[in-house]
Amino acid sequence: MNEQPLRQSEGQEPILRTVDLRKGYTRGRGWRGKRQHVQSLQGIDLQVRAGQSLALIGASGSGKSTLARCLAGLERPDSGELWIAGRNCGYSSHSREFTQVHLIFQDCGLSTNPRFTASEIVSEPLLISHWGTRAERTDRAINLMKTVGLPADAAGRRAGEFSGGQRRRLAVARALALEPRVLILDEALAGLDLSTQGQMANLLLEIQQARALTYLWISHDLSLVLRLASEIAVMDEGRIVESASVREWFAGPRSPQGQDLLQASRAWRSGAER
Amino acid sequence: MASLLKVHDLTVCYGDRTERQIRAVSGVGFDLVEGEGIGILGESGCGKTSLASAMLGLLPRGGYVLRGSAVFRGTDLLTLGEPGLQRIRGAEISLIHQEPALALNPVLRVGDQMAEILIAHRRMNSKQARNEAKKVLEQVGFSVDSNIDQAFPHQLSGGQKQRVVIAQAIACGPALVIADEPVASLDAVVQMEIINLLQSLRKRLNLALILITHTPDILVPIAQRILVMYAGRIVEQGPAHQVLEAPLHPYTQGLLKCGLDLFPRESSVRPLASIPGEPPNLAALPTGCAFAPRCSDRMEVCEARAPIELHPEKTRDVWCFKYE
Ligand SMILES: Nc1ncnc2c1ncn2[C@@H]1O[C@H](COP(=O)(O)OP(=O)(O)O)[C@@H](O)[C@H]1O
Ligand SMILES: Nc1ncnc2c1ncn2[C@@H]1O[C@H](COP(=O)(O)OP(=O)(O)O)[C@@H](O)[C@H]1O
Ligand code: SF4
Ligand SMILES: [Mg+2]
Ligand SMILES: [Mg+2]
Repeated sequence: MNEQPLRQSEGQEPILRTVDLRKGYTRGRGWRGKRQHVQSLQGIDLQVRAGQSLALIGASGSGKSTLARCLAGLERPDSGELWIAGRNCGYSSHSREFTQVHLIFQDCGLSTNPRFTASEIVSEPLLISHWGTRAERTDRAINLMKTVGLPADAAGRRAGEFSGGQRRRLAVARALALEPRVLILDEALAGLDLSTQGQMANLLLEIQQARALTYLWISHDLSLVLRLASEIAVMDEGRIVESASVREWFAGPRSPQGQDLLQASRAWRSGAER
Repeated sequence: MASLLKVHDLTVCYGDRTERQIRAVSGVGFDLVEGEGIGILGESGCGKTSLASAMLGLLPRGGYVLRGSAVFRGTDLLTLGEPGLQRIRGAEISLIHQEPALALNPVLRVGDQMAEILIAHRRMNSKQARNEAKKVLEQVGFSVDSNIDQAFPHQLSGGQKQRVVIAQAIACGPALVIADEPVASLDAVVQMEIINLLQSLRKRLNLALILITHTPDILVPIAQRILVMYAGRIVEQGPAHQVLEAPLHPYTQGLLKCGLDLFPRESSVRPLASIPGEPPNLAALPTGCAFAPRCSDRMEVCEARAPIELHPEKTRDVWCFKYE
């Protein structure tokens, strides 16, 4: 890594910290007959302070989602350290610390069973972690649904009846169920209508303020994350190649990969203005 | 130029024929000439996919055409019946979906699934079809030595998959391609490549293209005309640059503002622009203008009756009382 890690305020343990995190996959034979090993994370050193809003950007395949899954305990890194709120989570993806980190990804709302009711979907994480009685869980689910702006009568409706935007709201409500401190939003707003995207982004910003959450925004849509994050990290081929404040970065990315990304998104926009 | 497709009063519903019926498309009409590129713009749930599916007889279970016609080269697609549609689908009209993975058979090599289409529609033998498949794959930007025809879909990136889907769509030389959110699942750089590819194919092959999307940006290189849909109806249509630069309907205005305001001006975290509220419930549409609950220009008349087609300028149609 050629840049200093993200600034860490004095004496405060970062909420997320990784040291030389590595993860690889062996893929089946490619169509040209090779058996491929892909090193998706090649030594990630990342520090995220509590309350921070960090954008993680990079071309597709650069390892963003792999990192997200490792940070959320959904996947086990091959080597390196992962510290959550000052505790080493080692390689056990069962570590309790992972309840503090919740990953929302693009199709999470769609992959839920369409026959589940909204309150079942939202309260499922509570059920899994043996939280409260059934009535308490339902109660909490209804409260969470209110928080994310779903109508009161939504609780009994089935997932399949919700619009794309509403399903995303459900996913956020579900993500908040166990009161995590960090939300990782992996393309969480991708594919939404612009207006819904704006509404969701604003909702997430409000929730962040109200609950002092830490956000890790992962997206290929620069125009969006640059509006939502205050710091930025650029990934390329499994490494973080640049990190800066959004303000500095937008004025002039230092890494060539960062420059490419900014240019591509500008070209698109200026094309649109023609 | 010769007319290719004439859609008239197309109305598509879901559910039983009672009051709970969902009216996904209401009285939509438009014309398309050979080689023309049009964009259909609208938020999700406004009926874009239902419109496309209805024309190709691909409505999901529970969906049906209540009335209307879609005359393609003199044949009404809506009354044609499945055998006739099968002859047209993939041969004269092809459809590109948002999710390329769904359009590809996971257990067949790319070249083989393309060959299947060619054998079915163009009566080639398997050797001819395989060679032709390679040629078409080249047209969508795969180099000959990539041997992409030997790949299985899961070995491809999202952008590569969508290229293969496009290759399938053009393989039989269709006159019309309907692309339903073709780049929604791809990243920004790849989106641009795919849109540029569609545009260059459209020019080279004189394809008519209906590009369906919820993001106005991607219409710019392709669409000559834009239809804006809201709650199953067309609310505005006109030449693309006029609609994008000087939208008339309050909905179009709001939609375009959301898009443009995304890019940071001073790079600090702040709320984004959005249109308040959500599209209406299609099972209980208001009597007046469907956009009224979200419209800041709403007047009394808007809630009393449905807006009629108005022409504030010669080339433009808008369904809004502001222009009465
Ligand atoms: N489960 C997996 N099996 C095999 N390869 C994978 C898997 N997940 C990710 N990869 C590979 O790891 C690399 C990084 O992928 P990913 O983390 O999804 O990147 P991004 O989210 O930045 O697009 C890619 O080359 C991808 O193909
Ligand atoms: N299979 C279905 N069953 C019932 N209603 C449906 C179905 N598919 C779509 N609809 C209804 O039709 C409306 C329009 O959907 P769709 O045509 O997919 O819109 P778009 O493509 O613009 O997102 C939706 O709001 C939904 O209410
Ligand atoms: S008809 Fe009235 S409510 Fe509808 S868009 Fe026009 S001004 Fe707004
Ligand atoms: Mg990813
Ligand atoms: Mg659709």
